[in-house]
Amino acid sequence: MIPLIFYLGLAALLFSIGLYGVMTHKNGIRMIMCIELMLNSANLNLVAFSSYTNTLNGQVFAVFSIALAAAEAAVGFAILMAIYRMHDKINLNELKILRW
Amino acid sequence: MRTNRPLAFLVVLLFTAIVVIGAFGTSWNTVSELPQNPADQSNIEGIGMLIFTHYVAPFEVLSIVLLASLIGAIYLAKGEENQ
Repeated sequence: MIPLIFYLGLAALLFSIGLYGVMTHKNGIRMIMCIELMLNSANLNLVAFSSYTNTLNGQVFAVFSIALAAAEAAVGFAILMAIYRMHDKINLNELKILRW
Repeated sequence: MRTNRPLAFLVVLLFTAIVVIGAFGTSWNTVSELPQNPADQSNIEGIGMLIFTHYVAPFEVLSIVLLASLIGAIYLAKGEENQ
């Protein structure tokens, strides 16, 4: 059995990669993909602790979290597509429509 | 806003160090009580039972949320010329 700390380390690594991508990339699609990476690291933590405590509640939470991530990705990509259709740009640093 | 890659890398490195130190510094002191029974490895049935008995209400709410978000995504992604 793999110890719990390896799962936690892998999840921390995945979350850090996602955080770095969100902080550095300007492309909106890449940022959404990095957010998905961070969500997946949280799901990995949920499943690891679920297996660690020998219960199944964490895995059910992971299923719910995956479904919410799917909804978030669908809305996010749709918003990006609408923005690209309106302004012909996807670079989030050049978009000023969400500022006041 | 100009992205600062070294600063972002530094922040992420700091975050990773904090999380890893926290995870390794905590004593997960029931690690010897992990289930060793191979018969417990398949748990699809248990997850299904939990979803349809104890988590029925969150499951239904989640299905409504997913449906609403997908309809909203279709409405957003559809062009304005054929609405």
